[in-house]
Amino acid sequence: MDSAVFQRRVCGTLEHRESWQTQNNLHIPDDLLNAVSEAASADGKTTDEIAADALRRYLEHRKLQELGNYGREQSRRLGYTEADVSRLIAESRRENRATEYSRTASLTCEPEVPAWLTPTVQSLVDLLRLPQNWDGYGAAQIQEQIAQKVLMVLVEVMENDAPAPSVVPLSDGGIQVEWHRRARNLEIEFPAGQAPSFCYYQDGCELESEGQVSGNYDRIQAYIANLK
Amino acid sequence: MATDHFDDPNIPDEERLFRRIHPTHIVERDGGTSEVSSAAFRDTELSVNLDSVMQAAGRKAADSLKDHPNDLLMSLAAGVCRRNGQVVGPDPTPEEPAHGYAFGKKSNYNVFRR
Repeated sequence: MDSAVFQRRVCGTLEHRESWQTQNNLHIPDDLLNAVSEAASADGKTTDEIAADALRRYLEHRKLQELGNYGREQSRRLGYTEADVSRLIAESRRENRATEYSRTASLTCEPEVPAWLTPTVQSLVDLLRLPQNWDGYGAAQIQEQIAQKVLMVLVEVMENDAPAPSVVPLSDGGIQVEWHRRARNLEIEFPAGQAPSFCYYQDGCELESEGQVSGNYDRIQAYIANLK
Repeated sequence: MATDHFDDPNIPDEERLFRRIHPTHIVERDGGTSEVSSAAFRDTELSVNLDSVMQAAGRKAADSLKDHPNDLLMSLAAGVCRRNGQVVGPDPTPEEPAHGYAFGKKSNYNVFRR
């Protein structure tokens, strides 16, 4: 890469540097910087704010790509194409397989995107961006493989028109998804290093049901159906 | 973090235990309301601030949020914790003299349900 081409302004200040020795500086082409400056001025923002926003979006996009890549890799490994997605999801839900995690439908969003999928993936991406000690009590960073596991299970148990869950972090790096609708409550917990479990109860009542997610897809599907 | 957890009888059941809540632990209910997720209380050792210790030092509850201004603050009665198998005790630290704990295993459904 020709460094001369990349003599840049740094955070709005014109700098000419012979090397890439930067610390907390952002190097971008002049024409792009000029365009960003104009856009920032028009929007009443600083170039720094625009740059930070762009970088956040990039990181979010990258996380989504990683999740998508995982799904595509699973599909490739299993010999599935996007055309198989809807059929596989339907088959999977019917079969109630004992080995839930061994084969999964592709996470690719097309052709039929369940209404809950996009907000759920976005919530998972948001959790993956939480730093170490995000709660101030020493919480661990959220584990990407747990986010993937959450999606796998939800694809199995949720119909396309099921309500999107709330997605919350666990202090051990795990994730919990939960619904609180129509006086009914369902929580599915994916702790780090342990098997996922669920509990279901109605407002003002004793605990109605709890157990491991594995082997209980039918029950969980029925609970989610009751939340609609 | 305390290593020897015991239930301190000097902490009355009425004692308010303050716990910071991270914004990600606020979840929606239908009808436009929200609540705190059980995930916020899952830790076996739940760090809290003891209201009486804070008051004795002339501190207000909101002082628990001084380093975490985006968090929310809620209180639990020590008696609620005890009735659900938890022990409540003090664990003062140099940074937080009012620090304490509600200690005990928590399942998805036990301690802090409505």
